[in-house]
Amino acid sequence: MHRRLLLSTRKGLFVLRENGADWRIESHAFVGDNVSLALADARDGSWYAALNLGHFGVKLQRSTDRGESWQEIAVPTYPPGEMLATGDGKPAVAATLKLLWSLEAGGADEPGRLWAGTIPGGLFRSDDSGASWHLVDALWNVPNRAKWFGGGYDQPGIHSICVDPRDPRVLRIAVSCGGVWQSNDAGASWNLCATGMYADYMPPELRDDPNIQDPHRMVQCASDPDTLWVQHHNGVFVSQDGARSWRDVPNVPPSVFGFAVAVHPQDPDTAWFVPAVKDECRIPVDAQFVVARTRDGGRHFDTLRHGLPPQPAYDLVYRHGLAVNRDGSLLAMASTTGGVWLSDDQGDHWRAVSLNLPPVYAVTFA
Amino acid sequence: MPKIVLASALARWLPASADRDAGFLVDGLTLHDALDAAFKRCPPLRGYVVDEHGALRHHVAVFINGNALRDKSDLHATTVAADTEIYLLQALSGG
Repeated sequence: MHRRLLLSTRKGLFVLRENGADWRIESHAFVGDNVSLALADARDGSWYAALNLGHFGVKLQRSTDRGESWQEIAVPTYPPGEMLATGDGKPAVAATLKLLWSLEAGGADEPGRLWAGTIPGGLFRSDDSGASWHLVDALWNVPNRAKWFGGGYDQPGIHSICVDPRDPRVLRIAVSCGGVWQSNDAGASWNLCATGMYADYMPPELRDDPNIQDPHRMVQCASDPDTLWVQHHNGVFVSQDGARSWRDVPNVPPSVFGFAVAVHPQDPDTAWFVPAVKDECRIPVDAQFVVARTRDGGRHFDTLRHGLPPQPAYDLVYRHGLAVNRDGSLLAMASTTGGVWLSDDQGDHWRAVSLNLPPVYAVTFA
Repeated sequence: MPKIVLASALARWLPASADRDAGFLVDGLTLHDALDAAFKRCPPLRGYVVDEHGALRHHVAVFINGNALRDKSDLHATTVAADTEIYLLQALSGG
């Protein structure tokens, strides 16, 4: 079967298909519209595309024929009366769906179950492949949520959902800015688990508060699910005890700041990052676009640039813009400048599929 | 009956129908009731025009007989008449 890659971009969803040694654009759906992320559900082969229409709100579309046709399905909605208070002093407002920021399939034995993370901070569950959605009340109602706040966006949001491959009732989510949370009972109860993360940019009293941490992206190793990697606003953190504690990884070259992270599905010590200049600058260090890779759990790093654009390059890779496929043999990365690169040797060499696409928000293997 | 006309940028998201293309002739004495009648006839339209709490989306513009709706916060407060034409279109912000 041909391998495919879904690119969620500012101007539609591009489907890339492997054709011998080449990857080519097979189709372009939602032409001109803002596609914020996609999910390829390995359980039934269906694809999902989240749209953020500037005028008409957030929409969700589903395809059961690999993108030949799409049907609009329901989006998560906030129940009447739900309010959003945030920890940064903004006045409370009605909670309304602003962005679908993460979408993940449930366990192999949970057909139809999906999890959706949103701005302004609600997690939603579907048990019917997105025909209906339910707010996960237990997380929405934690008192700590009133202290969450937006990072980059006006309101807080859930951008990472890790469904534990050993037990799909075990969920770990990452919130900007609200730390990392774990449920062991399919969302019925939640614990804050960002101990060890810190935020030097916050007032000293809040620096180590797990509830205000700003993980930019969290990923979990499929073969060793107790290992999770986080690219945080302050730097890189790794957990080897299922998110109970986090260890700082201070030596990522050329910068510990960034958005994206990927972990090898069969090797918890191998992870990739795409560094940039902090905080609001967000361009490659010295305009040299590189990938940082560790193969020993963060003790040492390689700086990878073979096949990436020469200096000066101002590509930035967003949090969902770097992915590794299911067996770890292929990496994909795409940038805000519309560049798309693949590597089949763990990042040592990259080849450009295109350098002229619209800004890319997310890459998804299908 | 008041008539609700959709801009093409909005209509393109909806299933084909005579209403979608020629406008919805609806019952209603207020803007809220007229919109609600259109939503009942075309349920997918609702989520494109209002949010989950029924508030008009920030970047949706409403023109009533050629005049932009000034107060988007209370759709009940705007009355409509039998010959009122209501245009729903994308605001020139937020695209």
